[in-house]
Amino acid sequence: MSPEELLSKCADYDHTAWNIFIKRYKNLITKSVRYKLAALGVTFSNNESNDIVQQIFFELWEKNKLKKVRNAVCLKKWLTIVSLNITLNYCKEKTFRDSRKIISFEKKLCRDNSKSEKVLISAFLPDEKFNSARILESHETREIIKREISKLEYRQQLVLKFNLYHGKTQKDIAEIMNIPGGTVASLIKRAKELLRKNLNKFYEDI
Amino acid sequence: MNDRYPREKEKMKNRLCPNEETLSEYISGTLPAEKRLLIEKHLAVCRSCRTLLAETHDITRKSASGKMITRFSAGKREVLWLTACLITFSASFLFSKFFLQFLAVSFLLGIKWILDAKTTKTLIMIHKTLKAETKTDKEKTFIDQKQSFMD
Repeated sequence: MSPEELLSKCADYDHTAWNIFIKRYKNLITKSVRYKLAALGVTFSNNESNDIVQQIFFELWEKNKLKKVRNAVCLKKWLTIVSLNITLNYCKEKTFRDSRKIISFEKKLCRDNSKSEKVLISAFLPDEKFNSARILESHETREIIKREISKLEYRQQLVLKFNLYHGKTQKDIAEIMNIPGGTVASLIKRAKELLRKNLNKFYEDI
Repeated sequence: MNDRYPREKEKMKNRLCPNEETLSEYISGTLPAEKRLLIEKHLAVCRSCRTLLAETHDITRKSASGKMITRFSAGKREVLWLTACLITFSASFLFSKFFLQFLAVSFLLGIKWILDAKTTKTLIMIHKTLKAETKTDKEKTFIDQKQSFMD
């Protein structure tokens, strides 16, 4: 069955088509869920990740999301994006559910007031040397670089951010943006040159 | 709490992320040029959408079995030619009736292995550059001689 046919039949809630759909795309969705969990640094059991996979299929079925897919060519990528989003939402909900109550710094740690002295939570905070000038400086530098990048042309910005923040190679960026590799290379080169120039200018002015 | 982060709130208001269909069409390259422009403008400022695209690219690239095969063949091609060469060579002794045929095939595969090997490619490259250099040197000396002759 072709993807177009499968999509239209699934949108009409055809049971056999849904069975084929689940068989065909289960691996991709499981892979996406596991990838996202690993990226978030969350350790879930196999049962729990299977729960998320089930939830994804359930949402697709219940909300008839497959009807929204305009182009069957994009189905795999669309499914991946949907899976990533649902996994992220699941994790957010989970952490919200499991989050502990916020405790005031002034709250006493010991329940029994009579026996011990008043010990504050603030006493357990790390020493001041751990959040000293160096950290502030690195934050400041990061902010300056961020601001200078935001001054670049939007395409240069996008390519540079993919390259620097997401660790994508020129080939990867070309594939994501569907542009030739040479264009990506020249955009990155130009963006880096401009950034260097602007940063030099900025530090000279200081 | 809401008034505590006015900048973030403002950012969130301005950020209208494209839906999943549009993003999948963008990464598949089926989106019209005008819309692509708008999406790229948004992607330049929206980290979550960028991350989503980067992750989608990672997952779909890894699941594309065709690409995995090409990656495998690129890495192991050398070993593949050598193994094929050795198999045909031993087959030439096993099937003595087709001794010459198998030997010829193994010879061809051997040549293919030698030509495909990285070291051979590097040697060819070095040889070519050396040849080019000597050519330019010869040209230089010729020009110098010509100039001296003219003087």
